[in-house]
Amino acid sequence: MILLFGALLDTGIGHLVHRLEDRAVPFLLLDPRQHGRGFDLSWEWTNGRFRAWLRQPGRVTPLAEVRAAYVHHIWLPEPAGISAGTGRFTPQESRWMLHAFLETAPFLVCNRPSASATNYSKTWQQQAIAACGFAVPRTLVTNVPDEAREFYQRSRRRVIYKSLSARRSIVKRMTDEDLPRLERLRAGPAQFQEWVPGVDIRVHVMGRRVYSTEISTEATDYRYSNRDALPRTMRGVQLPDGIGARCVGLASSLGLVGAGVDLRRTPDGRYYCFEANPTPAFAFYEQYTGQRIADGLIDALLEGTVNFEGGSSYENR
Amino acid sequence: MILALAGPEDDLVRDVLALAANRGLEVLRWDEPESPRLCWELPAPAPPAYCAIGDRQVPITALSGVLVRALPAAPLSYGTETDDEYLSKEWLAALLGFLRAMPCPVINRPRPLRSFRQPLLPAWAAEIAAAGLRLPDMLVTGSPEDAAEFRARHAGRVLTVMPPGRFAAEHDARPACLLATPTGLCRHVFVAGAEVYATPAEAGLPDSLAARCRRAARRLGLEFAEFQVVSDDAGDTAMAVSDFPDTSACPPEVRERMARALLDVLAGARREVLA
Repeated sequence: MILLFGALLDTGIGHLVHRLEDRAVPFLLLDPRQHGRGFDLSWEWTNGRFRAWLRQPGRVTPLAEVRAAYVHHIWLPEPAGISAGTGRFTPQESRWMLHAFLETAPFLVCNRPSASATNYSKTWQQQAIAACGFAVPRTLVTNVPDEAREFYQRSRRRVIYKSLSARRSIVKRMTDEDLPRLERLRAGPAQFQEWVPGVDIRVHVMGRRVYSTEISTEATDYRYSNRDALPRTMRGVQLPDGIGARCVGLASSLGLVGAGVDLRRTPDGRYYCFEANPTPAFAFYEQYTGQRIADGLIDALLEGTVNFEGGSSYENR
Repeated sequence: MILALAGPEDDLVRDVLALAANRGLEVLRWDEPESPRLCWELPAPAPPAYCAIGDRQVPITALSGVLVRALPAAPLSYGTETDDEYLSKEWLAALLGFLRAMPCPVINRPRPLRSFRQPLLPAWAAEIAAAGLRLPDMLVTGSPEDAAEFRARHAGRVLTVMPPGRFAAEHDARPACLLATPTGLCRHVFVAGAEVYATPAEAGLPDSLAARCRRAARRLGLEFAEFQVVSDDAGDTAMAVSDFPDTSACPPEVRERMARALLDVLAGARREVLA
């Protein structure tokens, strides 16, 4: 059985549920907002043996057959019409418990909270990316306006800026008009990166399986090309062997079973890596390209383990 | 130069800084009300990477060590709750990246999500067990029935650990981690750099236990750690691990020796850096 953590209305979970049903793979979907309302989760380690069970109104279900868990979100806003804190547990208590469960459960978890957390600090993660051999863009982190100005000039005014944390932000090209706004940096730091020309490639790593999608658009942040009324095309591509293996190696080094790795291929054929997303929106890419990414994820989960020993071998899908 | 991220009430930091002053070592102290200026570049810290507080600006390359006893919150308030929440996350993200980028020893180098001061024993179980320490039987639950059954099974000898900010006395039907407590000799074992100490002093510290705690700290990437251990005929059982050791109950001479060991690391006398 596969345990899923997330909300059915979420596109990624909805699509995964659909594929699991199609393949007749047993699963149990737990909406974290129902923890302490619709279900209780308990687990114990006794003499080195793990045992977990669910309590739901009128029944207790042992979780003995779980092969793996997929975590889309364990921190979700309350559904419309339900006030926060109406369950038995506070949201913080629920998160503490579910984190602990997913961190310690002895089966495969995609992804454990500690692995997902590497995305909480982009510059922390960027150092891990560089350690894996990827080119990373020159990046300045500062709350000093003069330093940001100097970096902008030194980078020939080809600079983007974006958030440092996991909070989603729209990547923007910096312009001369932004210079006066740099004074706001005194309130908090930001990161500035040299703009890297080229084509975006989203690589979904699912265990050892690699699905690469090339995105062509004039938008600085392809996810939001519609807002700028710029066209966007997406197609499945094959990566050079070394790059695919490096993506698997990066996910492995971060402890991620599944990851969305953001690459950019420059006109001279270099591959830059920007980040590894621990909760990739694979359904979005799948609907445009027909790549069977969800099936790759299910296969990885059913294997119940990801053996990264032996390093660079991987399956290019 | 040593950089210290610490609140004003931290006795251990006071000890370390007093010893640093005796040795003529400079210290840049980053206290919470201060608003530091940070600037560094990736992929490798290179000029103009620096940290500045007030009128003191220190290049990162001039730092011999960083002592982290608190991760300072965003220094200002910005008006709306949404802005404050966003900026506090950005500050934390910047700090984590900054401290990872430090080419010098950092005690302790924080990792994303490693809950500062509130590490969860089960989350570190694999590393602790691999170091040769035993783990207690444990139950994590929000169910009063399951908690009661576990307590009965262990004859009431159970330690209850609550989520951060809650106390055991509040446990009614709240989520908690219940640890079965062996009957034996309880020690607090502190690993500070290369040194290991235990309280109460009269209980002594067997070499085997010191070696296990040192190994566990190393596996967890901690230069400074506290283990609460119960020893009986079956072995040494880790009941709690902290990356924010509380040294307030230690005799002054033990505290001073720990501070000296930490200062050795921070001053670069012991260049070994844990990943």
